[in-house]
Amino acid sequence: MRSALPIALGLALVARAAAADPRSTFLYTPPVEAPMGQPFKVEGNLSGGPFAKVLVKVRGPGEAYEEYELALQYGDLYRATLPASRMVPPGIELYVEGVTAAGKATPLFATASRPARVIIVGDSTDVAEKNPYGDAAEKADKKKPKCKPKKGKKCPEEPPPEKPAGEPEEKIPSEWVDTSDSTAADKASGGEVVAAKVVAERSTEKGTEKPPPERPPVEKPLEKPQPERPPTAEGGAPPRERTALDEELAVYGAEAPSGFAQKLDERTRTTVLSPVVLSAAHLRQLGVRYVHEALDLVPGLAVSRDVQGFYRVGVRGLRSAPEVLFLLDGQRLNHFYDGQALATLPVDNLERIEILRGPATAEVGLGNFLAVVNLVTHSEEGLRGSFTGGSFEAFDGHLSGAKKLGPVSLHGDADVVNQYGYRKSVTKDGLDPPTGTPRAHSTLDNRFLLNVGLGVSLDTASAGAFGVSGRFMLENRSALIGLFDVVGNDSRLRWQSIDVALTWSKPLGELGAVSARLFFDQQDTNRLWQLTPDGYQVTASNPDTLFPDGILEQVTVGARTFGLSGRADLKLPARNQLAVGLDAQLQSISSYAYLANYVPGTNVNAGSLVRPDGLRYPTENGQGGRGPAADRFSFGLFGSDTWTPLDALSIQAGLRLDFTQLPTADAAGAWTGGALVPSFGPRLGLAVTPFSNLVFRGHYGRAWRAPTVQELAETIPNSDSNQGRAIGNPQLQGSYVDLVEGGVEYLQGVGDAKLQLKANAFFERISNAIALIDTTGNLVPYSNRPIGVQSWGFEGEARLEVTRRGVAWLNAAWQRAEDLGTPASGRLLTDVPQVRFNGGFSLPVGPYLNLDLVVRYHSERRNNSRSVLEQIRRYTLPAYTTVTAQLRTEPLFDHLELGVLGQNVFTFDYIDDVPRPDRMPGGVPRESVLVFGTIRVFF
Amino acid sequence: MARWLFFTAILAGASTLTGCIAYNDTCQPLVDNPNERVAFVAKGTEIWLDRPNARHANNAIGQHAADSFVWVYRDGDRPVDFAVVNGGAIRAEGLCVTRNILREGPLTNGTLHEILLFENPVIAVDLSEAQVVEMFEHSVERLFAAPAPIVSPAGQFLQVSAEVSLDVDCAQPAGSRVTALRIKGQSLQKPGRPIEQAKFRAAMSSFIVKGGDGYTMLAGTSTDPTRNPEQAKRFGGIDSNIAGEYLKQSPYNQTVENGMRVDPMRIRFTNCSTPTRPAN
Repeated sequence: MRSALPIALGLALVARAAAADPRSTFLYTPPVEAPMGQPFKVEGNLSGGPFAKVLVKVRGPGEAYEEYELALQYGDLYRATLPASRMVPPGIELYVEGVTAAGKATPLFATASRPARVIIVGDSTDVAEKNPYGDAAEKADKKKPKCKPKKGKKCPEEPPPEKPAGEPEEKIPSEWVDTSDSTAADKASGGEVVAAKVVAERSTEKGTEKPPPERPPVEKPLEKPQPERPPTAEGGAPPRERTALDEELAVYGAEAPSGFAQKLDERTRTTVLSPVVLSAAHLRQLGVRYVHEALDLVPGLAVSRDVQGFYRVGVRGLRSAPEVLFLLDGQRLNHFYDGQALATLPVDNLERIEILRGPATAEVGLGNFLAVVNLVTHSEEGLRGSFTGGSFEAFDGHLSGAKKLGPVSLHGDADVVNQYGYRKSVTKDGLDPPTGTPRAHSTLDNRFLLNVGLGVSLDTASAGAFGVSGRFMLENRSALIGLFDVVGNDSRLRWQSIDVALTWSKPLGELGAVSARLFFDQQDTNRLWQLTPDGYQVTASNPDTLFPDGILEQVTVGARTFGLSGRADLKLPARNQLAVGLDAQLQSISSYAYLANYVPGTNVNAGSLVRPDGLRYPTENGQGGRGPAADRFSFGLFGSDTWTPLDALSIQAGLRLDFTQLPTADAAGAWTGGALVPSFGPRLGLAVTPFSNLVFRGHYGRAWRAPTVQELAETIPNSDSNQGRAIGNPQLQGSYVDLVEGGVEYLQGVGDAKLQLKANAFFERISNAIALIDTTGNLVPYSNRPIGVQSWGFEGEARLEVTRRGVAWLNAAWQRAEDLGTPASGRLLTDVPQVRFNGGFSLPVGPYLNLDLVVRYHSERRNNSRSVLEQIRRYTLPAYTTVTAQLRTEPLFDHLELGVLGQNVFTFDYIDDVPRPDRMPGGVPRESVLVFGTIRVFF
Repeated sequence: MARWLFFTAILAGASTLTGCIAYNDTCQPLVDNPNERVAFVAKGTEIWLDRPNARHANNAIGQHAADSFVWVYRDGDRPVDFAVVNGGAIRAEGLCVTRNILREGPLTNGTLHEILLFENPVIAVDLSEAQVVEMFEHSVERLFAAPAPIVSPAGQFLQVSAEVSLDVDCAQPAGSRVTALRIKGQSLQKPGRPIEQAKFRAAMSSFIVKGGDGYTMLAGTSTDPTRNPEQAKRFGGIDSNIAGEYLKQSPYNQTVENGMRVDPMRIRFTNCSTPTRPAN
């Protein structure tokens, strides 16, 4: 905290310096895009003055500016609402100026020559076509008497101005024009297009204002609104393929401006699922740096760290890495071998994080079991960069950008992270004597991460949009503690991932759209574990059992996937939207090696890392052939229909059918071959909207998951140092989860504020759950729980937005998970918090600074009791609360933001669970106070 | 003001959730009659249950549990020649209270079940002489040679029934530490004869007969009909139940003077580290 103080003071001085600028300013950040045909709010905080009035001046491409007066709401907050008819594609440009009593105009935000631009998503042609009044209505409108223009108000019914004779043709930027339609505009040099039919008079040129052109009346389409950013470049955003989940959830990423709100948007009212979406703005307010820090604030989720340093996501009281599907821009991150995901990514380059608890829609492929976490990188045009430095030599830099060059769009992002990591004492480990003074040892959290993604797309009018994207990720880190129950600070864990995707999409007009995707990924892990400290000697009397560098184990695994998917979205009669598709993929272990520097049985130093005798790799079948668990072909079909028979009722039914290649084994665990295992995943849900600000939802979903290669086939030597570790079980079967969930969402205007409430109740049952339960203390095979595991509970969220900068929020979750295969006295699963609260607020501190405070509470955790070993290896992890505080600026000089962040500012000690609490009673010590400073720039 | 009151009400409502937290009761007795005495710990003695004393020395609980396995088969068609209990099956942790020392006085059924808490079935199988020798070599291969401290002793160490007499020399390398082995007075020789020539019927928990604790030489015998595998039929066939019933009818349950005590002569240690009395 001492180091935080000067940083905060420095930040305040910088902000003060910015605030000392004698220029008056209107603090406002327009959105990149806005929906077509909906009122648009312009609001911000005014500093400086005094002004008799504040005006926002707005124009379409090549048109004259119209002006609207901003009304003072309270304090320094001004607001104006642009009418829906003003919001037509391709977009608007705007600037804000203040007018003194003497009539002098002062620019406050942007200028007439350099206005801010807001893309309006939609097709003006469609709008015109959907005008129920058609040309006749327009003609009728023209016959209406003209109104008398008043300051700050326009006359929308006025006819468009006629082009004066000799008026030069207006040039408009090319990005306003749909260049895929050659009849709409003629291309001109210099990246600009001459719009022959668009003529306007600039008020700045003429010195007088002319009435604005008439806009066609806009009818809200009956169909659901288009996603926030369509996959093509028509909206100005670079194309990047969006997954079905993207499409489903995109609406949640669009944060409505704060202010009076009485109505949920249509997509929210009709979706049957209850996702959580954390937008980039949310992530900044939450004071999180990495994805898992953000997930820990989502109701129903609880994130902990294991001894190896992996982040474990518990979902509704259950925790299993392969059962949480991580996607990055639609690309699966989970490793084929063990289901772990290289998803501990910085949030700086993320546009949003989407979380869906339970099985997602039928469109999402296998792997979405307990939850789906979809990470979406920034895609809007521009360049963004940030740099962070802080505690324990943490330095990281982030860069992302997108650019559209005619039909070609480019986008890319890069993260570079390096940290020495926190050090906290590990009180005792498995090699310490039962009594006496333990050895000195501590955690080590070194980490280097490189994450680079690039993409390019070509949008052709006739053949659709083609894209290619790729990503490279490299993580090189230490083990936080070690492999299992002993501190091994010399462990080095390397993870490298490459993925490439080719995409194609094509709209089919009124019929819908089709898309296809061909992808490949290769993930390679190289994990060198130090099982004992340097200089360890197994048998005091035997010098051959001395290990100067400790006992070592190295496991290298390469896994690759080839895949293909295709889907069609069809608009059917009777207000039906049907999505059908298929996907197929071939996953395989491309390389595998297990090496150790000791001889199992004798514990003699082998001199180097060698393969232990008799150890069968997962890639081998034990008879000289390839192991059947090492390759997996899967093929899936899905169909999902959303029917909206009434405006207040939406019904979604889906079905997913998958066939997955799995190995078979005899009772002794020997491989006998393989089989194509079918699985069946129905979905059914409905949303009822009795009022425009209230929606009730309910849905049922079933999903299946296959055992991972590790769960099926991992082998390790039965050595002294491995007792209690997991091994594969060739007889393991896949498991099903059935989820029933109901929820309600309510939006209420409270004065000038917006209050949003959400609540869900759920019950999920896992048949044949795959679990790791130590029953012997020896090598522990994964096992099915044929009687099942279940969980039920509820989650609630409340969010109060007083202003854009003034927000308070709270979420809570309660759940009860049970292993039904355990006697009633030990049935509860309590290693994940049963109750969680997260809450916080953001407050403006003057015109340039914001204060964010986030409080996190986890209830007490205890050991499970599924076996007698779990019963006697008791532990209690006390409840804990952490506080995150952040001071950050509003955009300074239009391009700069500064921030200082303190995590766990009150240094609350808390720990996570370990696999052997009897040997490591101190658990995994977690971070104390961490302080970071951040600079963000954007252009 | 109203909205802040509303928000506060939400917070207050959410805070009531903490009352809904539930945990498994770790102190529930494992048997219906936890307070019933099954035996006395002999006057003037103690039974040490910590890991070094359960896994690196003769242990009274282990010895009497092994004796109970012999007893339960005594009146059957195939009585056993000897029985063993792995040291890892003797637990001091308990479900609620750690007990490193059992002091003189009554031993209750509840406490016994917490000490032998795995509740494994007891299985008898025919073993060859070679298997028996290999089994006992595996049992002692990780014992610590004096004067090394006993750190994380292995649970594979076998407590034996009264029919077994075993001499161990920890100065010898692993695999050659058994210097003498007698079962019911019969000496066994290394490497041991095949089952056709020398057969010993042994009782043990299903855990080790299926290869647990590294007893791979036993794996498969419990499913091999030629080895006549047979699960104990009385008292549910469960190790702790059998031990409890055996002790209840034994002389150890008569008076504290005749109570349980360790037999130090079943396994005789040479050049091995010796565990000390634990702190309770």
